[in-house]
Amino acid sequence: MSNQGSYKLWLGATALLALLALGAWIYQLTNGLGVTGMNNVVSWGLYITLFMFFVGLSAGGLIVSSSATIFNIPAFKAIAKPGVILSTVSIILAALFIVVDVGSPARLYNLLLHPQLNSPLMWDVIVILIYLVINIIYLYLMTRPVPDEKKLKIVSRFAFPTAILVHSVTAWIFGLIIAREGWHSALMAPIFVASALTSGLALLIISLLLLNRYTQFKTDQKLITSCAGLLATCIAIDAFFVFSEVLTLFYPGRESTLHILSIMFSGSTAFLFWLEIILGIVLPFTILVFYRNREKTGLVAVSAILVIIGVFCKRAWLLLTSFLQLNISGSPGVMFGRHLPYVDSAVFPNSWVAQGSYLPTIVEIVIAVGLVSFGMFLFTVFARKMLLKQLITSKVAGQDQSLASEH
Amino acid sequence: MARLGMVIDLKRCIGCNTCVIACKMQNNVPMGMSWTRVISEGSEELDGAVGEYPFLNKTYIPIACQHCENAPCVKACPVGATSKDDKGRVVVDYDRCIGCRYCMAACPYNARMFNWQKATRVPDFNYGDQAVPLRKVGIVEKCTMCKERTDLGLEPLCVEVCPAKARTFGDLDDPNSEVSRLIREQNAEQLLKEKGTRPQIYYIR
Amino acid sequence: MMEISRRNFIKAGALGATALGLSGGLLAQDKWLRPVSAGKDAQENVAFTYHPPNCGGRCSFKCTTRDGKLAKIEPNEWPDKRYSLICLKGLAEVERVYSLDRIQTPLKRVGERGEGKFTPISWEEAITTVADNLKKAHDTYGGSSILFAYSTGIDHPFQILAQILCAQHVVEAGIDMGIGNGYDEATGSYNVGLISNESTDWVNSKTIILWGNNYLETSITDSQFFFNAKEAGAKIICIDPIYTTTAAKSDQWIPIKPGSDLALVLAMVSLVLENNWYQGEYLAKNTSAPFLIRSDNQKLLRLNNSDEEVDNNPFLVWDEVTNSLQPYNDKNVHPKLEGEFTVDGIKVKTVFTALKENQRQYTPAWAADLTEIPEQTIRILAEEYALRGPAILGFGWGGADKWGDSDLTGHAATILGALTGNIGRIGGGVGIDTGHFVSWPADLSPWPLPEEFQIAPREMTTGDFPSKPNNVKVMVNMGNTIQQHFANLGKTAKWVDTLDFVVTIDPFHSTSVDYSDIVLPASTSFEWEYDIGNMLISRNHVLLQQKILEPLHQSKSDFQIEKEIAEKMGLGHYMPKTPADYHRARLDSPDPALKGITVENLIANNCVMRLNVPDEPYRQFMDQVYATPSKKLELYYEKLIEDKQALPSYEKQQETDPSNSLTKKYPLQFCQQRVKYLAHSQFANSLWIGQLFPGPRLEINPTDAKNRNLKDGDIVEVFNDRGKFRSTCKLTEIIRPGQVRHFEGWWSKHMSEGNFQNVTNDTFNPRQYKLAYGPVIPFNDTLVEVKKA
Repeated sequence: MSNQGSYKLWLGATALLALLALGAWIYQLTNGLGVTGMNNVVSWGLYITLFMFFVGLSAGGLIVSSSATIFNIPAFKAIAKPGVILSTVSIILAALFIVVDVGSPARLYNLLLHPQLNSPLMWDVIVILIYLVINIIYLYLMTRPVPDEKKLKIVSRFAFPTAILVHSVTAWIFGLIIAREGWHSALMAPIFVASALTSGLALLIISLLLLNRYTQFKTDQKLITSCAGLLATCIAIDAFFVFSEVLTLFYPGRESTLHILSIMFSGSTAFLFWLEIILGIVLPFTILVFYRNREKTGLVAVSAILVIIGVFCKRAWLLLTSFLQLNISGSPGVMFGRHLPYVDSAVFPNSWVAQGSYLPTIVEIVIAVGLVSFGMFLFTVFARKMLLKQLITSKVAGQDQSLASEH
Repeated sequence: MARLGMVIDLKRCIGCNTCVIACKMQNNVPMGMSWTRVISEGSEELDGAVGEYPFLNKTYIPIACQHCENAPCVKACPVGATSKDDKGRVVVDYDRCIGCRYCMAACPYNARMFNWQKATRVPDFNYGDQAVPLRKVGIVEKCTMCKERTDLGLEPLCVEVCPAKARTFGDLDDPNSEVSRLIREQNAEQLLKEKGTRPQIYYIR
Repeated sequence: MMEISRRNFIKAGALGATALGLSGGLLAQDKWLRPVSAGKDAQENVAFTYHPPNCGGRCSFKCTTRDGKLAKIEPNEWPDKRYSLICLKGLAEVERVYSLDRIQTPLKRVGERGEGKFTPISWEEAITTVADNLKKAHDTYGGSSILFAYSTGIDHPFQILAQILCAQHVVEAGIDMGIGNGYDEATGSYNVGLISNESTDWVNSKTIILWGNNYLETSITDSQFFFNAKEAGAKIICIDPIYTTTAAKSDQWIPIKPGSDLALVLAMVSLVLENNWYQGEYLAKNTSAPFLIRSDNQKLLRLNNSDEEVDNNPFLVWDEVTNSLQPYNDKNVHPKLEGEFTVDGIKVKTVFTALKENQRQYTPAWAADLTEIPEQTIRILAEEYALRGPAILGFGWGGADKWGDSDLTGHAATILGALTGNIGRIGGGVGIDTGHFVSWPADLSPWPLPEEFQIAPREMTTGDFPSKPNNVKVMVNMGNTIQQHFANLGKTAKWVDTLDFVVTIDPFHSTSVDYSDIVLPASTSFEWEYDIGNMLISRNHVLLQQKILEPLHQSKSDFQIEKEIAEKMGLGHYMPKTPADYHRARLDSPDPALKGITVENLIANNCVMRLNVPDEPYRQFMDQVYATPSKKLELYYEKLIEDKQALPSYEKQQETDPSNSLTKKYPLQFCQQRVKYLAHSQFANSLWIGQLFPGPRLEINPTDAKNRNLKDGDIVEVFNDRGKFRSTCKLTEIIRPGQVRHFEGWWSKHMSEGNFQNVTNDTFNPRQYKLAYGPVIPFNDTLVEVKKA
């Protein structure tokens, strides 16, 4: 390896951040979820945002990887493995974000003991479990010295729809809730799948570029370019869905809906929305739509990063906006859920809020950053084990494969 | 099979908050939490009115769990910790709740409260009805329609203490009950009816 | 921008130590996995009591204690089930009884009066100090040098000790009697202006005017009767500058300029007269309207000029049938209502004629100008009151009652009620109609004491003590009287500082405590050393208190404190041994209403029994027999002839009248009001109720606020020449432009700075010394300006 030292340093750093997250989580367990910024009005926050985000990244990765086999795109086969590794790590992270979000994690076994099939959340649990199993099988099959093409084909036939399903079900957690006007839409699933594709593909591109830079695993420039082209298409599709959603919300001029839109366009979540539109959609698309730009790895890298930021912002504004306004307005509002002790008898703490507000606390940020670091740690370890050590063998296998596909 | 419900006469509600304090006491609700609330409809200030002096309007609306017939929280709960019992009340099994808070996202009425921190009680002991279970950190809770009282055939405490006699309680499935009669004769409405949750709490204007 | 909750951002703090500060919670396995249901094995006791804070409620409680702690309060069941009630304040007692504001031990002052510095002392020392000081004052200056002042809602206000010492004994002089000064003169029934009919009679009314009466916030447990009346077909009209809850729920709200109530009543009287909407027969038969006023001395014509009783020297009226003067109480007399005659060379005219003459200047247009109410509205209001009867004219104690002209308003309102035949009528009445204070009475016997022990006649109204020379050297203060019962706290404090000795008895460390030399911690009504506590007659029932808790901290009950002071002074043998003894003596009464009601029976009946009274609302004067010398409803007040107010005439408000140049400097009228969350100054320290609302607020109309660059939540200074205070500003449309409101009752420690009583008006109207209750404290006649602090 070129830099064993920096590799160990990298592992050390990510592991340390992960340990800090563990500490923060224990602090959270001891003191209750009140140490986060969540409250009775905005009852989901950074953790669920990241859960959605990573399910999307995961699904995207696996869709690209399995489509290589399903649609028989030989070029993509080369990146199928990193794709699946990304997918596996991402879905593990997504599950971990649920664990840190839940108020009584000691009782998570109830999900297995008392599953309620009415609940989209339970559907997601089931689908994610199946999905994780498929990922593991896929990884296992892919990392055999001689990959069994037939088995791979079968698995990818399951993987592809499951990947689409996993993020659709995640979307349905929101889309089926009639209580929140900004969520309740048939377009949720398509939006999520489209953004899964964009974010997953973008993450894959970045991972490939990083692998190019720091390891022996090299990916062909042409492949990167075609990924970038696919990314541009996916961004367009995502933009189309977002536009349709916003137009449908806006057109009837219904007061409560317009209020939600005003929060998105010019209110508290506006910065997230516009970051998504400008940084996550307009800029990268404008860059990647030109073939010449797609050939420049620098620009592709920047676009991919922008897309990922954009999709994260999308998850955030989608989650938060619908929490911010109460369906039934009127003072004093709702008790937001903290007891604030009286320190000065002349100051009466106010326990009520008339609308939602949320800012992640340090605890949440440390846990989030730490878990993401953990993900990077896992990816590095898996990549080293499955990509690099097999690099030599896969080169051989790749030659065999290309020979095989000619028939 | 009963279907317990309530009718609240908004002409009579004076926003005194007696029901809020009664509920707090009866159910051992800690500081920083309230299972029920009384809002001034459409107003941004506490006890405020809508309009400009002197053309003003004020209506108080008490809101707690609506014990919906088509409860979105019951459908949302992945472990079935929230369910509709045989008397039509939406109840929470505190031992089963994993604290995922999906039910809170699913409730259009913001009727559910979460135990974000260890309960602080002032005074520092368990007050109220002994039969009411203790809740702990990390689970959800809400109005139970005073299950411990209604199981014994009593009315929820908020109904009993309302000084203006704005609340009526009874079996919605019994056409001769007072609640059924009021709903029929006084054009009772439901909150957020268009959401299709079919609340069992009705309001008369 | 997204609302940033900075405290959340910062609260998480450094991870280091806290992250590893594993508390038992996480690692204690049994807590982790134990099911959440609580055990049902704690020992529970049930006892009964009633709640005394003088909100007008006096609800009977069923109290459950668990492991010696007050765990649950529920409404008790009354024989008359309508009163099985409670409100948020009663329920909050579960928390307030254990408040950190409880005075835990007797205290001795170590700083200046008002500073609030104390040191704990023993009961022995405290009682000895008090007894010594009382004895010294009593022996040196006489009993009247001791002033026992108590808050409303104290059921055992040291009446016995005050009587033994021949001390002065007073509750809220100058407060809650403004209207009464006017109304009670007419009926002769001195009841601080309370209306003649119980609120349960409202269902029989067709028109109910609630005047400066925020019934639905101040009489919460009576609100059902408001709505029952509405459902029975009454039209409820609310006259109030502020859009209160009562205004919102009434059928009609008439916004009125603060301080112009008298003008409106006078205009209504004029309208009734001008349109002949009055009940001539009623007036002739039941009132002094046909009495004759002599033009030489303005007094009422009587048979002779002696001072003899009415029986021997009756008033004279002009009999229509015989066309001659006759005694008014003659069996066959038909008094002429209107007319002028000459008798022995002296011109006389009927009171009714004089009234008509006096009223000519008070036109609806004139009143419309002063009240800022459209003329047409005034006309319709008068018409409905007169013709859509039975009608109630119900004042509150926070509006017209607290202005300098309240006696005139009361007088004019009485005349209005008399003209329309609404006094002594089912569903009728004029007067103070708030809280359930009007109900069937019963006479409890006094505690037997030797005849030489009598409460000293009140030297002057308490509001005058700070400014006039007086004999008071010692003040025994029960409750928060220094803050609540005086305007202009600065001046009050100066006077208190001149006293030899001040002792305050209070469960809570309220503002008045800070001005005392000795502070004695009183128990709340839930805590007793004895099995039985206080007893009260309210809402047609007799209520008793049982012991719910042992006295908390080192507190003692009022009864016990009085007893110990008396014993220390060698007067213990005069005192009742226990509260039960005391009540047995009181219940030993010839009044048939109390028949069969004994302490034992009360206990057996869960501490609430109904009086032996008819099963209908209490109504006075149904027989049209009044307690005046003439036994008629007297509309003409001879004692005010000098002041030209024998019949009410308009008088400008001393401070807030627009002609006062002070209005340019201080353009806003300041009012303090009772609100549903508090009972005067009680519950200001309740944390449960404190969760419902954000503390003291200076409420101001958004237009006025904008003109002063004030935003919601700004700290503002409210000031005038008397003083200033600071509070937090709340913009609300319910407040009339030109007026600001502050909830009364906040203790100094709750305010940003100062006390709201620093600005209130303490100027007395000399005329009112002639009236039954003395001069009213015109709290509402206060001008202020508000600026950002």
